[in-house]
Amino acid sequence: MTVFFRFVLFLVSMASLSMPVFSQPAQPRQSASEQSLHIGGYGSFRFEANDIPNSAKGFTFRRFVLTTDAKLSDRLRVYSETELERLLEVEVEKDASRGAGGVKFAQEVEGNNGAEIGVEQLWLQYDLTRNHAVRGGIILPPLGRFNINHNDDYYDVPRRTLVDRDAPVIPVKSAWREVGAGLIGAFDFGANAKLSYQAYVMSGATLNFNLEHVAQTRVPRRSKQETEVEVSLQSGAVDGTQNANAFSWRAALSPTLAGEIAVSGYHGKYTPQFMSISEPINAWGLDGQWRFRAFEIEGEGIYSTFGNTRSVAGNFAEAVANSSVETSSAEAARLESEIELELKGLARQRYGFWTDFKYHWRPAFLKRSFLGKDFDDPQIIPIVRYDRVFIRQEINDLTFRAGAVTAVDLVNREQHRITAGINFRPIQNVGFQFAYERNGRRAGDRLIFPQVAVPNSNGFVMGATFSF
Amino acid sequence: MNMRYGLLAFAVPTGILTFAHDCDAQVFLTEEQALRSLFGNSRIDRQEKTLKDGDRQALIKATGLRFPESVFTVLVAEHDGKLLGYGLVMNEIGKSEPITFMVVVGPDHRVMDVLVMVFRESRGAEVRETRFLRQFKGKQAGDPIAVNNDIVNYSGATLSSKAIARGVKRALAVVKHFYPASKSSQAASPAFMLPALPLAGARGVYRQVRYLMGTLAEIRLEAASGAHASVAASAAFSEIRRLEKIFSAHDPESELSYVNRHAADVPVPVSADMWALARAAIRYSRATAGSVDVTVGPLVRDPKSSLSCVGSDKLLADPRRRTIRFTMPHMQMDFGGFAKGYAASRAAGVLHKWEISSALINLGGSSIVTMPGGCHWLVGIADPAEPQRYAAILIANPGTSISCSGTYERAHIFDPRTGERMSGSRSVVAITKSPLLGEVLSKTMLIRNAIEFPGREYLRLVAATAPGTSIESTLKETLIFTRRPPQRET
Repeated sequence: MTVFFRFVLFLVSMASLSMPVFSQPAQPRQSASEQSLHIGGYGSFRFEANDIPNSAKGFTFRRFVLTTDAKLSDRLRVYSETELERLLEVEVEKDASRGAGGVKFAQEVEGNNGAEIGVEQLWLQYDLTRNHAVRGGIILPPLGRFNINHNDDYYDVPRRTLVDRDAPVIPVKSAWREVGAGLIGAFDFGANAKLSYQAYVMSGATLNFNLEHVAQTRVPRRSKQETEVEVSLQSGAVDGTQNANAFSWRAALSPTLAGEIAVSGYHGKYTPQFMSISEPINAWGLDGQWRFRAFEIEGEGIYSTFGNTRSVAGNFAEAVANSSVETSSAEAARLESEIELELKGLARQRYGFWTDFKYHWRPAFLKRSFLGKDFDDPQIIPIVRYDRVFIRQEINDLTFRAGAVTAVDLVNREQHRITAGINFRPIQNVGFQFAYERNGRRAGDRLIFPQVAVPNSNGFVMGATFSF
Repeated sequence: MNMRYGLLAFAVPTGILTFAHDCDAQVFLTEEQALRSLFGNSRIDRQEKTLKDGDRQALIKATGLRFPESVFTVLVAEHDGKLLGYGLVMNEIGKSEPITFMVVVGPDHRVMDVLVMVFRESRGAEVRETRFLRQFKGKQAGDPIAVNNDIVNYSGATLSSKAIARGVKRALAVVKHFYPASKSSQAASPAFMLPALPLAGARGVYRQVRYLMGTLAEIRLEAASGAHASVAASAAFSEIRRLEKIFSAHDPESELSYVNRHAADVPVPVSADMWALARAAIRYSRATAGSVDVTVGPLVRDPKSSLSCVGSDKLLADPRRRTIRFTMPHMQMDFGGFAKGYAASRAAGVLHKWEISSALINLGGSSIVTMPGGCHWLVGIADPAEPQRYAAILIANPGTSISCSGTYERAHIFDPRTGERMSGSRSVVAITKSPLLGEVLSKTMLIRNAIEFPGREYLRLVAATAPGTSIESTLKETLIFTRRPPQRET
């Protein structure tokens, strides 16, 4: 923990050093080949209470993302985002020592529950012209608008959308990243209109697994070691072992500064190379944002199909049935071992949408009050968000014998969420958010998020977001 | 499929690299480049303006913004002794880094352009785009210049948008503070005051006449006192004189003469007034298929001039840089009645600022404007056959523009399409809401009727009084043929 906070403190110190002290007129740095490194970040934390039985009412340190943006020249730029999600500490201790009768290797990993550290973006951009560039590295597939605009401080409610995060309709929950390369740019049309685009070839989402180990002691029965293999769609490999299977694109037309409307797509193959079948993902998005004076509407709709998911499940069953288990230890006979396979969230179709309606309220009294005093442009943003997701033919249960699927239990799920809240922004990049949310089950035996078998849930979430 | 995408990953960027090889990748501008893009090779004077406590307090009071700087460097552009504008390099913090940009302010204290020179933030570089920056053009210190007010922010670049807006407002305040209106060509106060005389038989109505724009300019106005009338009328005349210095085709020192001399060689930056009028004139030229054309200058000077250098389609107006360029040599602009109409309406605006609500501005009988909030005025329309007599008496409503185009005094009107000079005792009077539209209507009708009724003399009244009436809209017309004995209608 100490090491981590020291590290954060060091980075924040570096960031503050990189910020200019602007008390006197800065002489403009006019060199056309100016280099710069900007360290920034964003993050959020929140308090949540809901009426779901046995759920905690507590604080969540949601995430802290450190960003670096290095402009190596006018035309070359390297950008990165490193995410620390719910992470307080990761501590590893290793020891190799000689003991009685041999050598002892010991490794200890300490950490907190739910912690995650990862690279969200890391790309190099080469500007070909003023408006067009090549970008390569770990990039965000531009399906819809949320995945590419996922900064916490961008939004005015404390929780991310069902469509992109909690009950993901996009192939991989946001922030979804892939390794790849492509083009990004814009064309100007007339005096006001602009058509911007992104198009990347990438490794693409693939079925991948996570292993979960459970050690269980049972007296007087035998102890149990359980390994659960959770197979789900995840970002593709970044180690060169996966073909560049996917293509994602987005075209956004902005007729005026007031807003834009965009179409996007993702097309790829998600079955891993060890499987003998090839099934595609095809996803399309329609999103937009429009402002009329202080009113703003923003939204996104995503439709994803995953090919013949039944044959994917069958192929897994075949692979599992043909595998063998070996044990060479006599002591192992006293230990019960169990391997469990779960195809998480594999459905034939997923689709849904979300829309935000908000009003940027800048009452005169706010700047005079203790809340807004000394801020240039404080604002209060009342917001209503409506999410709805549909999951069609999700594989709920699979029975197979001798490698052949004998029964498949498919389920349709549907959920909506209404969020009404207020975000107080003393400055543009800091928000204090208060929201009431209601999740409602429309189809299926449980809510999709949170995964509980209740018809609906009510919650109160308040949080803070920031960026710098 | 794998192979296809794999090839795409390689081939697409390679293809773009190939065709993009010669493209301009310059993103930033130096101070020199920013200024030269607007003022060409004009003389640039670098002036240091030190902010003392009093200056700072005045600026803070005027804008509500902070002025931590101790010195501002103002770049003053001049050409042949004529002030072209001011440039201020501003550094405004976007999210965490300063955005360096130049605010170019015209002699009329309005923003001519905003040019982003260096952008250092990770996000929000879209504020460099023309469609965002053009919002600031024409802004002046009194405008809000604020996001979600008169400036639309760039979504996802709100902080950068606010930074630019803040810098523009601060720059305008600095120019206004250190270069007050008397040093610019802004005519908010009378330059040369003459008494306005009370009009006999009309209580509270005053009149003043001066020789401006090559004709007798007259202002009649209602005022509480003679002093009030005098100062307001003089201020309005100062505005007309200022515009005369811009639009005079006879004054070699005028801006128009400067443009006419140089626009065939290089794009010439123009003032906000000339830009506004030139754009309107080009628009009307298209709408009338060339019946009225601001490039008729060569014909006015020499009727035997070639038509090859006449036509608004040969005039390039760059809205981004606010420049005008001629694509043919020997082209010349002549705003004629456009300038008079524009000057009359601007004079009405000045009178309004001086709290005059009822007035009539008459520029030589060809452009007459009444203010929107006042009384009705009687306007006599000369009989083209006998100009000493009235063919009609019009009751001009408040907010009306009366434009007269006639050939009975001198043959100075040409059909720009054929080069034919209009002659004979003809006159067209257009009654409209807009003096520019009136000018277009009267000239267009005059030329059209000269073709329809060759050899006949007439007075034609054209009324287009509905707000926003266009040339193509339904018009009320009265045609009076004036072969003696003249018919008269009111």
